[in-house]
Amino acid sequence: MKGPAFDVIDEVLLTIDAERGIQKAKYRGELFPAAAAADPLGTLFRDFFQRDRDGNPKGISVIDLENFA
Amino acid sequence: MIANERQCQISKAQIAKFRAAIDAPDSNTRTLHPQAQKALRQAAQSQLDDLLVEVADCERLRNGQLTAITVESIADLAPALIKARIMRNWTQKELADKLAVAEQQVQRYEATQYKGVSVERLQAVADALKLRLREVITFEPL
Repeated sequence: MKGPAFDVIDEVLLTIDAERGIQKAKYRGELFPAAAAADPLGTLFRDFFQRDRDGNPKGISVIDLENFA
Repeated sequence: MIANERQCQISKAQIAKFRAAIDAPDSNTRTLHPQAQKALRQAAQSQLDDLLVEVADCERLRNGQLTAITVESIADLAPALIKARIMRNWTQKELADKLAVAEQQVQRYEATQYKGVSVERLQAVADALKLRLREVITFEPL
């Protein structure tokens, strides 16, 4: 099956509330879905996180979870 | 936080993009797992809310609706100095001139949130901005 197995993902990781408070409380970090490549929102997020506040390009790291040993 | 007018404009443009994407989700999203659709929607809304708060803050600062900044920790001092400059309606260049440094120096200060800058230098910036700092130190139970 392609894509995440939603039935085994912690619900917290799929709960995106104000300032991602619930995620931060448990994981001290936040998760945004950006992999829905065909969707403008997915693309919007990917582009959004690759620009700083001045609009300059910035690098992001990609962790390939499927091949993560 | 937003440190200058240009960043405020960029954030406003992002707000428009997020709004448009939320209002008209692409038909491709319908093929996604319902959980993924929900996460995408929530994520966009959450990010949009962040941007709206930032832009509102930036406009309140600029319109002079704030007269004092409360700082809860030493770490909050740097963002407060940036806010104070915006409240004064000064550009980074204007602050640099008061400090007799190059504009790039102030750009660096603010881009790094005054990281590694000495306390004396922070005081000099506060003085240049004509700020009166009043610290209250309270003792927590040990």
